Amino acid sequence: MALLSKEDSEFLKNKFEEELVRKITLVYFGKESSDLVLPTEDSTECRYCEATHQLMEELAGLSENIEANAFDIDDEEAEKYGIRMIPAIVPLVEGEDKGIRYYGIPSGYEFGGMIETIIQLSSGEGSRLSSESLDALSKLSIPISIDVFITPTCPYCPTAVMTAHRMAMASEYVTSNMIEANEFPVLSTQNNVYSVPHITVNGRYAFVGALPEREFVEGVLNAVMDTIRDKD
Amino acid sequence: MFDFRLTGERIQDNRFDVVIIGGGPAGLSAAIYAGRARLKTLLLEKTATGGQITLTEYIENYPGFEEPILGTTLAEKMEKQAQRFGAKIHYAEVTSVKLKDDEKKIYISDENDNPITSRAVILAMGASPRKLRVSGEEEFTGKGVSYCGPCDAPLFKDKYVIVVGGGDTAIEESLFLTKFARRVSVVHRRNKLRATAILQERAMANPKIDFIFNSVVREIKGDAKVESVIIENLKEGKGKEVKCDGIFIFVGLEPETGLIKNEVECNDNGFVLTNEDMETNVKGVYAVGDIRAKSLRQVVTAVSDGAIAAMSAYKYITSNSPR
Repeated sequence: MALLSKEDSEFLKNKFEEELVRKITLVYFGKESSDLVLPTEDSTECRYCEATHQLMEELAGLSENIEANAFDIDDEEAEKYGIRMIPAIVPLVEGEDKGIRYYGIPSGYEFGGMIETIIQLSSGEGSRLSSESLDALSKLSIPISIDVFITPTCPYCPTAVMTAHRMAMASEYVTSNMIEANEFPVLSTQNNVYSVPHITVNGRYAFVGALPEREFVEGVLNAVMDTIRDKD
Repeated sequence: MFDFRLTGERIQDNRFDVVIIGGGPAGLSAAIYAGRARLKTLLLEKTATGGQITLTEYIENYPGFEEPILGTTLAEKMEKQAQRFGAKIHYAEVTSVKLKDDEKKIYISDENDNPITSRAVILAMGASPRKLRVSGEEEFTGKGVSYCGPCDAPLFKDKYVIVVGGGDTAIEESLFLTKFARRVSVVHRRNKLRATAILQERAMANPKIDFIFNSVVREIKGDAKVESVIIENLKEGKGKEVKCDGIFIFVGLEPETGLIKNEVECNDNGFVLTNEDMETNVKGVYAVGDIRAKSLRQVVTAVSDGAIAAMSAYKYITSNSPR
């Protein structure tokens, strides 16, 4: 049975037709059978792999500008993209990796956020961040990895994920990871995730909340400021 | 099993007849009515449409839906309905407004220099949870102190949590929390709940929920995260420390008036004052829903406000038409 309703599929088909410009590839990583112990940091089974894979295929079926590519977590492609947990999705634009990652199924409020990300990537309009944010990001000289922990029922979370993704679009030093907290309980507990959106940078606590863009960018950079300085 | 929510669109033009700030039920209802009146309508929302109904699981008292409807589903239906009548819905945070002139100016986060202009503005920013104002609350916000049930309840699987409050929201969220938490204690300062009777009955019948009446939380303690709270019994005047994993606070609302404090007249509690046509003291500016001074804050009263404001705006615009 289809995951997306007929009505939503129709709506998305038209929206994609109007707005997609450049080709998007949704690279999916998962595991087909669940009887193996998986090399992930978290649970030993992948409850939502099948659904996530199906969702990517359904999206690909809605536009000529979207294709889905599925790989096993053991495939060397996983290493190429630095994939650490499954299910994972890496959206590519014209084959280019912009540093955006989804860990866990983008359902609930995150689904709309993912559609927006696909459309923005495909539009080729860049990050749409303010010039202040772009300035701040241009000072980065080391890679940073932003983890945004979310739950699908959190209405504030997509705003935080989107801002982190835009930072990744703007700077090649930034990787932005949406992490569905329920699907990775061990990682969430390790990071003391008790409210979402919860943001960490290079594994360090940054802040909680869907802050406005300026404060968000500042909060992310402040969390790793000392390491940035060390490298100067 | 899964739910997939879709969101907004981009704006091509920045002159409107009506701009609605806030996409909760009041704002969406105003958008439906303004759209049907063929006013060029823009609704601005900073996070997700639905406002506080997205922070509750089911809506059971909105007439016409005999079975409980998910707050998120009701919001989605209202959003699509507004779009069907031509209202544009755009996701952006409003950073400032100038409302006193005939041409109202609205500045949003992603278009810093060029304001959106409009002939009428409907304020529908709603309200946000009130803080308890006790020691440890701010320090542990996001570290075990929460104001959002749907957001954070799934993170408290098999844990023991305290809920503060005795109104509808506190009881609804306590019931939602029992899906995840192993035990929920409701701390309420009075000797009985204020929540609607049917919610009280359900909470009383739920084996995971217990009640600590005549009591308040005086302090929230912990190290890296919440580990305990000090609960004071008001009758005995004695406090005791209770170990817990988290505390959810639902003790009323504060109006979201940061943007407009100096633009329109508000009451002592900060809620916007309007007449029965939803007009504020500024011409062409209306206030609807939870941001407005009123006695009953429900979806059904919010959508009523929205409809009235849209029609008032329509009359204002057509009778002051420069065309």
